[in-house]
Amino acid sequence: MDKSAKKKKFFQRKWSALEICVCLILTVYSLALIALFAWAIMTSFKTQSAYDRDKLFFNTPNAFTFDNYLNVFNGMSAQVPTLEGGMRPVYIEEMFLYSFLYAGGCAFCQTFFTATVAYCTARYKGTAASVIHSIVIITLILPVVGSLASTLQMAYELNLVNNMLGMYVLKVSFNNMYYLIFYALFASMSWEYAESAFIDGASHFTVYFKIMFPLAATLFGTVFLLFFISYWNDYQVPLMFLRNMPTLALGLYGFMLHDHSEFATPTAKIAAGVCVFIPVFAVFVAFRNKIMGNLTEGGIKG
Amino acid sequence: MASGKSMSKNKRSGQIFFWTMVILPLVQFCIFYVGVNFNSIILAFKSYENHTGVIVQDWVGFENFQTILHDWNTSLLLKTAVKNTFKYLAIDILIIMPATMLFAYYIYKNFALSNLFKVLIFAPSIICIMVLVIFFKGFMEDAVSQVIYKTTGTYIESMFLKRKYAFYPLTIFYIMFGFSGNILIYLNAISNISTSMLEAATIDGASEFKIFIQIVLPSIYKTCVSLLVISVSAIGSNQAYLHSFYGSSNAPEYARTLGYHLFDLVATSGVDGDNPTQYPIASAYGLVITFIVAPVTLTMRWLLNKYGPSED
Repeated sequence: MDKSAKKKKFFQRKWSALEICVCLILTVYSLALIALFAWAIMTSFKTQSAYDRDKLFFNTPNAFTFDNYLNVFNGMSAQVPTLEGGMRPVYIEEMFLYSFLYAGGCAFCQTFFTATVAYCTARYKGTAASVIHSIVIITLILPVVGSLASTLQMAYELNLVNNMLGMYVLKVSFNNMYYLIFYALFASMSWEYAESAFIDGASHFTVYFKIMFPLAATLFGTVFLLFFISYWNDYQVPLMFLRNMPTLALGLYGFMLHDHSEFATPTAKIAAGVCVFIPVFAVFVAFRNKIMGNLTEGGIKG
Repeated sequence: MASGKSMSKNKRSGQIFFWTMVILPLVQFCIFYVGVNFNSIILAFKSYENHTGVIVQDWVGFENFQTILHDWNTSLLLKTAVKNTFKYLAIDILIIMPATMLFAYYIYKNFALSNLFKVLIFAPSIICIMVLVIFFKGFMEDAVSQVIYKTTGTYIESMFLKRKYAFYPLTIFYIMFGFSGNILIYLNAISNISTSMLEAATIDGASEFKIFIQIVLPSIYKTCVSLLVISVSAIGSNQAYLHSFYGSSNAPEYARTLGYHLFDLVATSGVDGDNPTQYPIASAYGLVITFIVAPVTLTMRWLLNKYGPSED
């Protein structure tokens, strides 16, 4: 169907009351969202004096500047202790590195162990597998509140605080909702490939890593991306567990609420927000079909 | 015989593979789920006191629980926090949940601009909450205030700190970014409904509203129950983004929720492990809330599943 026919069909079609109402609400919602982001991006390029004169629009000449981004790169910092007992600033470049290490490592550990445990329980039936499967179901259903103090205390006792490897250890977990998705996928996979491989002398490790795992690679990638984005954006866990290795999100939290230096102007804070938002948004735009498609079209099913 | 031997060898190597792969996550689970929750219970019966830099711990029996009871009877903070927590729960159940279901149905039916709406609704869930807070706070306090001033002559300064106004922008933010999280789950649940059933209803002349109420809702009922249970079970941890807006300890008392109060107790109590004085009371709060919330959510789940509509 060509464009004009589509357009004609669109306007000739009878719209239901529900469709009109929801469309109106969603249009208002979308416009509000777009206005918010457009305003933020515009403000991030505005001089502070122009912003003080008019906070809504760009209506003064010479209002455009990159200074806010320079302020972010030169001034957004967090103080961390050094081995010598002093303090040193951590700037945005180092925060980027910590964000990558934190988000990448934690996302990989959690996705890999969730997938692996799901594979084991789905394919190696027995009492142990049933117990592990029940553990996941129970921990997902049972709400446990207020264990943060205890987690922090234990992590401190085990020397996992302010330690990137410690963060990875904390994420070697499997009791999350993605376990069920991986479980459904592995349970529905044909076992014939594995049986052929066993006949050819392959070990269980080979079957998992070279046959079954690649078959689940798309879902693995999607879940990894979702975990990565969630850890990239997380500032509360680094605030409690990783203060000496501040991530970008934690740096942004400090810059917004606790930085009173000359760099931390309102426009620079918005520019800092744009700096954190752009990489994740770029990842989302690049992988949006993978992120949204895989979970809606297959992953959660079953 | 040889085949039997080979099968048992394969079974044994399967067992070795199984335990090699699950042992690490199982040990992690034992320490950081079982151990942590056991330690949390123990902490609730202890106290830590800071005597000029030296932390002294002691068993105090039910003293922490008595403190909570005392706080409940005397302090307005706790009652306000509970009231606000229930306000946000009501917003979750009465506004966010039904709206997300409707949005998901709209997108599923591929109505006008549905692909754009799908991306725009989902996008906030991938953006750092601090970014959203910085943008929203600046927009409301500066840009919207300017518009209000120009149109009404009233200047609202620091609206997030004014008792009269703070609830409104906080609620708008909570609703605006509350749809994102679950939209894909509803979309997936709706896409599992038989298309022939929906088509038959349309041919029979049923309106979209009727189809939504009489076919879609009963078909996604189990998903709704699960998400409702998650909302209720999160009442002890729902911070309603207050920590992102105000940081530790700075949220005005009239705006606080139970989740913020609990997190704040730990966040302000020496996160380097050198001053755990608030850990016991935080753990006691956690225990009390778990004892109330866990049976309520489990019973609610059971009742809703037993007496809810069937897909047939």
